[in-house]
Amino acid sequence: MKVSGYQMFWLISISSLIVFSFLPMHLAVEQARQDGWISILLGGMIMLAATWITLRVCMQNKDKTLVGFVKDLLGTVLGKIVVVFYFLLWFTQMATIVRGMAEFQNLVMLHNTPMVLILLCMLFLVAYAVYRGGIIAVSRCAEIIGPLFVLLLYVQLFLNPQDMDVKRALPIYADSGWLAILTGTLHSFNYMVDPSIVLMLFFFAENKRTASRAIMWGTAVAMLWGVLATLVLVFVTGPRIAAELVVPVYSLTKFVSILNFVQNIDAFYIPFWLFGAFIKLSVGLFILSYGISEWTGFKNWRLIAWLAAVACLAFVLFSAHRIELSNTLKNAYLIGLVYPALYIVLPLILWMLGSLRRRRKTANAA
Amino acid sequence: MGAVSQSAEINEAYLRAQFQRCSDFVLRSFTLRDETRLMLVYLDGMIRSESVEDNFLKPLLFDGLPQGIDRISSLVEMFRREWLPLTSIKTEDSLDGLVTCVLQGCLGILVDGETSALVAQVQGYEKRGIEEPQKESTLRGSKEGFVEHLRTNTSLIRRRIVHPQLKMESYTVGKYTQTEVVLSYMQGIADEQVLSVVRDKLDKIDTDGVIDSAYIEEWLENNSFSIFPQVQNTERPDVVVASLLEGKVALIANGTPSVLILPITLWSGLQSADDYFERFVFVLLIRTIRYIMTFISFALPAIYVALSTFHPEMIPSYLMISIATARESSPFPTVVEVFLMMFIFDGLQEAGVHLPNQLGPVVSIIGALVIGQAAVEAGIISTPIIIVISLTGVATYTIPRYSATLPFRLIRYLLLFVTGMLGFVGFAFGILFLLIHLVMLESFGTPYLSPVAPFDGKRIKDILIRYPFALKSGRNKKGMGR
Amino acid sequence: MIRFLLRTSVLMLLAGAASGCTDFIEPNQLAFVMGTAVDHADDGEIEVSHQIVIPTQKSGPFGGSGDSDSFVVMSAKGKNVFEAIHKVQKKMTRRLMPSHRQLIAISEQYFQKDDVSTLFDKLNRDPANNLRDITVLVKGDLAKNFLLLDHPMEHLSSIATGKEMEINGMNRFSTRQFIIDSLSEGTRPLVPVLQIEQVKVRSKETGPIAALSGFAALNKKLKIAGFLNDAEGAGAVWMSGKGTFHAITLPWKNGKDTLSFRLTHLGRKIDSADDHDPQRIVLTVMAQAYLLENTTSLDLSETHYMLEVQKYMNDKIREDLQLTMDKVQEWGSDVFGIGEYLHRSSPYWWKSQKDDWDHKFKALDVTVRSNVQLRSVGASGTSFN
Repeated sequence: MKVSGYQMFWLISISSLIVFSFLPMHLAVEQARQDGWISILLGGMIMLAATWITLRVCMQNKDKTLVGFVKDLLGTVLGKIVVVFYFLLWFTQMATIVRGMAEFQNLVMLHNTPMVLILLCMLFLVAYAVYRGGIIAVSRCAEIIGPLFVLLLYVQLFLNPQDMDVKRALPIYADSGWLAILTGTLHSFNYMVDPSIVLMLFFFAENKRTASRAIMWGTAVAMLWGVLATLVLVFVTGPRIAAELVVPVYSLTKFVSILNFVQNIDAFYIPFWLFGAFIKLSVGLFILSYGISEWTGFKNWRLIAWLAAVACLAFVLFSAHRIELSNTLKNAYLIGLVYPALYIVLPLILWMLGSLRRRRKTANAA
Repeated sequence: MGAVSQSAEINEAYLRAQFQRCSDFVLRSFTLRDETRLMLVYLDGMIRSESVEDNFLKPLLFDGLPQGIDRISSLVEMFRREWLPLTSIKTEDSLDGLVTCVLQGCLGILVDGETSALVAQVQGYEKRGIEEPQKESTLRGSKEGFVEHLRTNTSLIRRRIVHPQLKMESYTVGKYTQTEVVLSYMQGIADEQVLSVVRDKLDKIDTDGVIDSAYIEEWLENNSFSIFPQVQNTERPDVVVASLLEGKVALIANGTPSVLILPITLWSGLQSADDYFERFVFVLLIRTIRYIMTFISFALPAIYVALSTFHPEMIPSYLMISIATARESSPFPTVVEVFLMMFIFDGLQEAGVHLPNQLGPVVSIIGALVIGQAAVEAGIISTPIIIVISLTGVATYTIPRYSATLPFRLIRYLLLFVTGMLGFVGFAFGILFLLIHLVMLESFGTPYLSPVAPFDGKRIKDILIRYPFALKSGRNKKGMGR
Repeated sequence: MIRFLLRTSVLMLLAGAASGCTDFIEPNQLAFVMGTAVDHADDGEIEVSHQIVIPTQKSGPFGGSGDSDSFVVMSAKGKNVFEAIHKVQKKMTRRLMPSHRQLIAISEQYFQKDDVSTLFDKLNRDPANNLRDITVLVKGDLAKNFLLLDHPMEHLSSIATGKEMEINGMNRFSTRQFIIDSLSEGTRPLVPVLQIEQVKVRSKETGPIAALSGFAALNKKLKIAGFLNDAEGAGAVWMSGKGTFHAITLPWKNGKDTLSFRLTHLGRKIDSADDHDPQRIVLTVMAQAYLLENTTSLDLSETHYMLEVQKYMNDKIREDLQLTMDKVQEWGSDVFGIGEYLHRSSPYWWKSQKDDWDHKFKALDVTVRSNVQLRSVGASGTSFN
């Protein structure tokens, strides 16, 4: 199964944008008010760097997936344990996204439909896509959905020109100070981009060079959008309201009024978010099942995909009834420790180990 | 039975037994001047009698043999010495083979005392003249269309591609129909893998009869259950010729003017031959309209239901109040109404296809006045729905290929159903499901949605706009033209 | 086998979904709320009234003159907004749909006795609301009575007011703007005021109509700081940057002739008079003026007369606006956004001021300047009298 560079670009940018549009902006603006965009910018830089490090690691281990080369570098036992963490990460991310999506639908559009139904439909589609064609199906879908999705997200930012007041973003820095900005960055950067999927996807790339460039571009596109969106949010609603909105991008679409005729277009945007969520979930499911199949040696990753989808459904239904599990976004433990470890620290370690090995190999060979 | 026997009686008996109760079977015995007994067997109505009389019988019976030969020792010898002025003639050693040839309209010639029969291809039966294909008319361009006779069809193609690389391989399928199918391609341009797959599949066809190329279609397709066709059919020679030049493969079957073309993509169904005959700027506009209309044709009823029942806040206030006013007295839920009207519309369309000409206006009157107008005035159906359904119907007709409209008509119903349950979310789910299906569908190795997914930058220009001929570079190996 | 399983599961899914689809709602089960009124009721309750449009079968909803059949007003009392709305819904045969709402009318009494900011929580939180409607204050009467009025031209009074404000160039008074202004520390909201007057529209008919009759300036606690009448209000709107066009009539120097101008492209700029003292502000208003009525004897096709008129106009405008500015400043309600300007230009000084801006605003020295350009004198030179 080969993924071209172009497809990789869309896969990464959609996955990043969909999470970006959901969480980080609210977290950053809450802390830093109208300077939220600086927080986002800083966070984006950090994540770009993390992606770059991840790419270095992948380039070093071109012909293996994460499961493979972690075993190489860290030894079998430690490697397996580390990979389990990644599995948990992807699994919980999937659960969070699908639950967030279903709850959002329930709140906004379909009030009476049981959440189970929406969950079932979505997970069924995701599992079907992965079953049918693996990453090829997902990447082809991403190619089609991608341009529309990204275009619409960008266009949405510019549909409010009459309500944007640039001066609302002023004064820069004076109100918040560096502490607030950094807190904003700290809270939000984990949710911006997910470099860990690259660890698995890179193996499937057809041409490694173009793929790595595509991945960097994808992340950059998402980051640019994030900064612009935060700016537009502050322009349109001012810092006080922006800090209170839970899903700011959605509220932005509600304000759009073109020619006093096209209004309330949020119902039009929500299917596109669904498409984006679908891509992210499919990518997540695929790497999860492929990774588990490699980890356990059980060859039929398609079957694992179905099982994982069912497990995800069960987990979501279970955690929906427990509020502590459903509101883990601001959990300091997660933000401060787990996410940076998985996104930044581990790839760094792997990179260093890989470089050491290489040096040792060339030294041995010479 | 086996070979042709030397005894004329045995041959005659066998032939008469085979063609028992066939009133069009003719067996005539002649005795030539030199007492050679000759038997002619043919099926009445299938041969060109004048040709036989002029070129064969007359010389033998009346004028004598050429170059003063007195006695025919062997007809076969005569044939080998090329003294029979008939263009297509060959020997046949088995009686069954002779029977088959006679059934196909050949003239069988048996000579008493010889073990070979001669078979002459003098077919002459009534066939349709070349007309413009009804379903695929264009404003500009050739007006010729295929007919039911295989040789005429192949000649229509031959006249347009004047190159020895155009190959025509012949296959026979169908136990009772013995239909000849010709596989036509440009050697060197067509994909060898596709060819081998097609040859393989043609060999494997095991069926009683092949009446139309559609019968072969199912054997060829990988995924017959999909609602999207993986093989295209056309009645226009220029379309076939263009496809051949792009590396596609054509299958011409005897007895039908529909020629199959494969492999295809989704976009082939949305392009018409006209696109290549007009100026490319104009074509850009037309294609845009066509793509939008295609989307309308399967999505509009669903979108209308979603907007008016699930998300009325999206419709501008004044329009919404108009719609609400129109729907005040309507007894059915919107979904049911839309479904009902769609069903009736499709029914009317079906009725229209099979109508004798005289009843055409009657049906349109019934459809428009009775169902449409009266239902609205009685308050059973609301006017916006009529507008939506009519627009949808019109939009379906902008799709150039009839066989490409069929999947969209089906999708319409499916999307309506899903949207009726879950609103725009359901619509999104439906589209996603379709997308997943389409993305993995393959037509003979070509992904169904190329060149959009997997993206092929060079080919995609021809899909969206019709790239000006002068700027096109290179030849397509696996092209997606029409 | 697995295909069979797949298909049956899909079918069961669809069947389950079909039976559970309770979510769609027909347009004839919806009640479109066009306007909402909030009033103060006794016992600490509030009364919420909804003006709901009835789609009539015969004529289109916006053609023809007002019928008494085209709307109803339903109201209920409750302890907070949500409870009151809930009670209204209980009385209704159809589901309320506020997404197309044009107007929120709040009575003066409510402003005085209750806290308007509690309204905004519901408006912001419930995603069914869009904040595109206009917030107005109804003076001298219950807001509910405003909703009960007929209108001679439009079918519903809330639509009428919405259109009136739009036509007269005042489309920056949406609820969203109101919320933004009320939450930011450097601006105070300016609310349009409606009053119900008796107007004779036909020879046999004299009926009450709600007309725009000025503006109200609010203070930090969203209580009314003061009322501006029509002319002052228009000036205040111009100075706060929310106006789009304006018309003024100036008496000429001899006291009896008048000049009338139409002003478009209204704008305003705030500057510091002195960089070191943030308390001295210059507010410059800008516009383009078109002379549309002239009863003086001046021949305005002469250049020097035009210059004179332009200078005179600027002086007069400045005087009038300065009066309005001083009046508003006395009330301590910064509707012009000067605080926001100071927030941006001298943010550190602002931090010391912002907490009690209502008081500190009074201490500012604001000078108004006028920079209006006379663009054209109309189609004729001298006047025809």
